[in-house]
Amino acid sequence: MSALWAGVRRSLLMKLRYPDFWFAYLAWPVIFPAAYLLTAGALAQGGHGFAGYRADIVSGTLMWMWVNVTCWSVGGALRQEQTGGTLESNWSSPAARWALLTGPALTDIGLSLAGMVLGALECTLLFGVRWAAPWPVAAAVAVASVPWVLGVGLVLAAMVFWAKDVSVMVNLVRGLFMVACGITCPLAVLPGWLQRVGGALPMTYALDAMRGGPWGTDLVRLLGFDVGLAALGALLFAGVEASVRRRGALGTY
Amino acid sequence: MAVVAAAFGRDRRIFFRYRLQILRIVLDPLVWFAPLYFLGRAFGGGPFRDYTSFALLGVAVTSYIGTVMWGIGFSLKQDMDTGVLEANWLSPASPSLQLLGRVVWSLVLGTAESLLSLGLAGVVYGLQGQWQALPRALAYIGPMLVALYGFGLGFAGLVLVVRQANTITDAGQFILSTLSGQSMPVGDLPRGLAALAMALPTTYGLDALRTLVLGGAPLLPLPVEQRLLAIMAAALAAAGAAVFWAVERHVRRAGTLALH
Amino acid sequence: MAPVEVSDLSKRFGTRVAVDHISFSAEAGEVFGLLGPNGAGKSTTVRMLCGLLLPTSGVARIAGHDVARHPVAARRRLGAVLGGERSLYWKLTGREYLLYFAALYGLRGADARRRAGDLLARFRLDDRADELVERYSTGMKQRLALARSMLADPAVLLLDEPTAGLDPVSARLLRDEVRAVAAEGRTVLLTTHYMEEADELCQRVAFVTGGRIVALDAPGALKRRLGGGAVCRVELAGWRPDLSLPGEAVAIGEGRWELRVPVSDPAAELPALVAQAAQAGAAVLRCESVEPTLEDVFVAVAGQALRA
Repeated sequence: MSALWAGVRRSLLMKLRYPDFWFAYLAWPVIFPAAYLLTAGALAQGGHGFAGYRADIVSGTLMWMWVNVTCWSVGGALRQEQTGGTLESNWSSPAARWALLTGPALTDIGLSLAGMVLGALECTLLFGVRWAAPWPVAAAVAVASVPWVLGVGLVLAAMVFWAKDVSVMVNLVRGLFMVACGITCPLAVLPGWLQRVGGALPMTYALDAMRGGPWGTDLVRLLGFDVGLAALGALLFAGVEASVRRRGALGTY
Repeated sequence: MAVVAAAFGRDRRIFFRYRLQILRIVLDPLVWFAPLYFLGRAFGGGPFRDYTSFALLGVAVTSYIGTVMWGIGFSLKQDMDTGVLEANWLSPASPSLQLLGRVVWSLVLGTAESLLSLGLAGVVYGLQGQWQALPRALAYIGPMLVALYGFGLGFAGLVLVVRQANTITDAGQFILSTLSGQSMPVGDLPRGLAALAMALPTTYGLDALRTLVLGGAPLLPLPVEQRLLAIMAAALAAAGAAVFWAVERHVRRAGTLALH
Repeated sequence: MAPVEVSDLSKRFGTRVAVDHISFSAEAGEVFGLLGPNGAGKSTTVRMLCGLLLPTSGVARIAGHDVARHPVAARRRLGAVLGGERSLYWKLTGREYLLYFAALYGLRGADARRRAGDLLARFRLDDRADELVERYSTGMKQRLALARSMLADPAVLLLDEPTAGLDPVSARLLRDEVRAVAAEGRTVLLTTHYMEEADELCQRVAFVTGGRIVALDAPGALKRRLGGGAVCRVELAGWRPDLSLPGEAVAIGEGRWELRVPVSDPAAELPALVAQAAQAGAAVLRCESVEPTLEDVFVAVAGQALRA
């Protein structure tokens, strides 16, 4: 547990020391949804309703950003430590590996969640977004999403170890969520086959609950994904990590 | 010339040895285009005659912004992190020429990515337009690229100074792409942002390309856009080179080349 | 004119003085050592000699070329290994790596291929030349970095901690290479923490502390300066600075200290030293007189410099 806390603390300290911290957590969560809101505004000149659509875009883009930041921070931090040579020194300590990885990951997930909540508030004020889900539901969705987001991060960490590359792996994972979960439109707009892919991803249900869908059912499904993805992530990571150490590839890049 | 060719060859070899990168080049444009495509469908294409083609040309042109920022700035930071930058700068070859080799490779890669995105998305999402006008558009895209790569040199200088660039690169690429009219006409941007957009070479390059391929009225008469692009190309190339040269001096004075 | 000439060279970072008016020269065929603790200014000096860092004042010349004013001409005559394996592209093969740098040094076509092939053979990398660098051992990577520094047939070679991280056998092989390079008439400027290595390789060494050269001479001459040829080493428990014992005390763990005192007549002075230590209240655990090493010289000289 102390290793987990040490990881959280180290990660937080290092983040605060980089100059782009405030930009990443204050400005970026407004800029990204804003671009799609502006595009939707241009498209809405054709007479289609736009007012109720704003919340769909903001919730979709912010939720995607959360997954995106987690992918980069969990996989990216691991890769940075691998290339920088600190991974071997960390892993040669007696602390549990899962704690060394999840400590910084939880910091990132928590920080980026706070950034997204702030982004939602900023968008509400700046663009007059009217939310379909009451705030306790939104909060429940956010809390229920932490484990699966962490699970995605762990799966990605395993992929980074295996492929020795972070940018391609992040693009694959975040791309899947971007294409199949309807981040800028209701799921019904997607072609049938893509809707079925989206149905296998937790973000689809998180967005459905945020957009006024049957939140009870969505939350139950999210909890199922929580267990499944966190377990899959932990298993994959443990397996790949053991194989990497057998082959002695921990410090190679 | 030999230095430029050597740096080009180095980057080409390294790119193909990270084989998964090729997958990224293929998938990236499809992935980033998807939210725009579905947004367009959600609004039934809005007031556009063919929003899919409109946005796809936007993605194809603005993908160069990403190529410039990631391919030059970010990769310079990677060289700094892994320690090879010092070894390169120890040689008598000018760092600007070494960077030029990287620029040329990134130009090849960017063009491949753009053409691939047009071809692939054409198959997946469907495209219409006067594609035979593409060669004529080169008269606009050419100077736009010179201007963009001039900006890239300056950006590379900035990366050498701040030594931490992930979010700025990611966000910068997105902001510049949006302002250039990637997914909507520049005229639909709020007034202040539209003014900013009119200062970007990519705005005119993309507008000219759309006018030639998809028809419709350009932002400014096309000959005016061409002249503006030529001026921007000269100014940004000179300014970018000057910034990089000044930063190179600064880094040698401050001794921060090996820090990260 | 000597191939390496450093005259009144200084470097300031803000208010911190990293290198403080140092001067030295190194001759053709000489291995010249820059020794000192971490942060002494060795690497800053080397980076100024390479042109990677501009001096605040003073002049550094490589083969007669002022590095700050004519950097390209200076770099043409210079090879350098800084950071060893960190200077390699892991996704290139050894041969591709050398051919790439050959182009940066102005070698083309068949000339470049021949030079790369010769160097790969010379540094015993030819049988693995077409494998990716990431599969090389640390020793091979260091040899490849050394081969790269020799591409331009340099008059001067700067080696920053070249044997750091190498196993004893690889380190010895690399030291043999350094000797061979110098025997060809090149000047080798070496920075190292390993005093024995400097003693073995260098014709002259300069001790650097606090950005200044505090002693510069041949290793033998420096040892003789200690006062006639011996160092008394007395292992003590309970040493304190206020005991006013002569020489330098170095902590060796578990509350024990080693007192190192240069002496001219060890037979007479060792017993007197032991008595003095006992009288001052320290427990003497062991004592001996030995030939001085460069490390002894360094401890004595650095101590004097710090006190001054």
